[in-house]
Amino acid sequence: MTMESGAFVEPDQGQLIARAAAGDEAACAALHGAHAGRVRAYFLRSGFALADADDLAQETFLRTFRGLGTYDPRRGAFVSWLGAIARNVARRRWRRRAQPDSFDPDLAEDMFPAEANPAETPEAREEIEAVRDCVAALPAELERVVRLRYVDGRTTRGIAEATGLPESTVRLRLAEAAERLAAALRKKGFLE
Amino acid sequence: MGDETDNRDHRLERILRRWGAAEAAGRRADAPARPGRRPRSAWAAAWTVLRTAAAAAAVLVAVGVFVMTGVYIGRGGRPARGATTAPADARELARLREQLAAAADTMKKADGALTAAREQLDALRGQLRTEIEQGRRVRADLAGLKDDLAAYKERLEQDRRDRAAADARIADLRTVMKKTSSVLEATRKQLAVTKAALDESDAARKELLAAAAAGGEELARLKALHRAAVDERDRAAAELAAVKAQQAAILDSLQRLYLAAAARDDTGWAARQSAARTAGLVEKLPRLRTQAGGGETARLLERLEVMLTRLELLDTSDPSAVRSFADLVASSGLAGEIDAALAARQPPELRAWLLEARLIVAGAERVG
Repeated sequence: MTMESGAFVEPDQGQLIARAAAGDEAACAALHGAHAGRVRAYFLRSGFALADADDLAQETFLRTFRGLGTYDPRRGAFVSWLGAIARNVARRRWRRRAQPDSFDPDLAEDMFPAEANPAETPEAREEIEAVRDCVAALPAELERVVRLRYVDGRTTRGIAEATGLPESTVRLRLAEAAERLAAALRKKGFLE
Repeated sequence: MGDETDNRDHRLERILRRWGAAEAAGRRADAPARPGRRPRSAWAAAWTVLRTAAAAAAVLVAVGVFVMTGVYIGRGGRPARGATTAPADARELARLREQLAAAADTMKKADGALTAAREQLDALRGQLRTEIEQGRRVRADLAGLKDDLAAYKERLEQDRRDRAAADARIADLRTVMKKTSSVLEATRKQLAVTKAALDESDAARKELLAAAAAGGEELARLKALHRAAVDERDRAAAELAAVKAQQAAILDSLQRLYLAAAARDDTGWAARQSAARTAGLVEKLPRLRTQAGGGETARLLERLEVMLTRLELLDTSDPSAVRSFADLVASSGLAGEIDAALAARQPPELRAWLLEARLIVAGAERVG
């Protein structure tokens, strides 16, 4: 996978972090560009409004750059460390979330996987490309609920609020989309 | 099969979540900057703040060193007014060196304490990170439990609805069973009645069978009797035919004797005509009519008078007249009526007259 933003094209994180910690502005910019998307997505998936998500992301990176000297790669991946900072930032403004029940906290946590970024391997990128094609091939109404669920990280209620559909209809559409995606991915060899 | 489906669903869910996270990260990174803000504002602002903070810290350190040096010089390092002796300076310098060495030791100790504090801080940060990770997992578990609870609630509600439907169904079935039981009870009673009727009819059937058997025997007996009666009738008929034949033979013999005695030289109707004249049958009739009284015998006598009168007037030499008269006599049935009159109780003179008339008409069909 090759994201234009470079969100999942991570250069040598160790060198980049070391350069950023030494005050290299370009390294800081690269580090920010590599992870800004996931940090913003985390706050949006946690139910914050877009403006709040941007402010919180900025605060997160401020703390990150300030504390880069204390980051120890032996204790965990940089993404996990960044996630911990983002959670701390979010917690302070947790009550200011606009739609707390409309977003799934599990999916928000997906933005900071505990293990090394699984999307970095060629197989994972190929799989993500295949899913993207399959989702794009869905009927518009099914594609919409799938994107609201898995990209925006919304709950069934959140999807119902966003679309104006009853929750039961949302569940049915998600189930139908899952069936179609499973069949399509099985045909492509990504699912048994 | 269920496990395979679950595994496939979980695998699909993982794939979709991985794709969704990648899409979300890419989309949010590509999102345009908010109005009124410069691009890359986050990292640039952070970088600016960091640089400002570093510069401020450096200035603060410099100011502190400057102030401490000034105080030091102002308090002991500056030469006293009017005291310019070398030994005094040397002592003062030694004292300052000792103080400096002591300060250096203090700084060294403070630096060690600072290092220890930093290590402790790192340890605390690690511990905090672990706790945060645990908190994240607990939160994730709680979210899962929340979903499970919602699913259980939904399932419970579904179970409650199913239970209500099942209860309603059971109630319906009980009603049906109750109705069926009442129908069965009525049927059982009807069966009992029917059985009693069947028993009764069975007894009647047995009686009928016995009666039929008895009837069969009676029928066989009656058939035998009928057969015997038929045989008897046939035998009697045969005997009657024999008697009639014998009677006819006797009658023929009597007629031959009668005609031979009354009209020796004549035959056929001429002999009968002569015999009737000789016997004076027509002349005897008025006296006999009083004996006959009314009824059948009197009417027979009238018809016989007509026949005897015509016989008296018959031209026996005319074959056609004779044949016509014979046909008339044969078809008149007088012979049978005379036999019937003779079978009844009659006065002797009338009986004798009827017998002679019978001999006159006998064989009329044969004599033409």
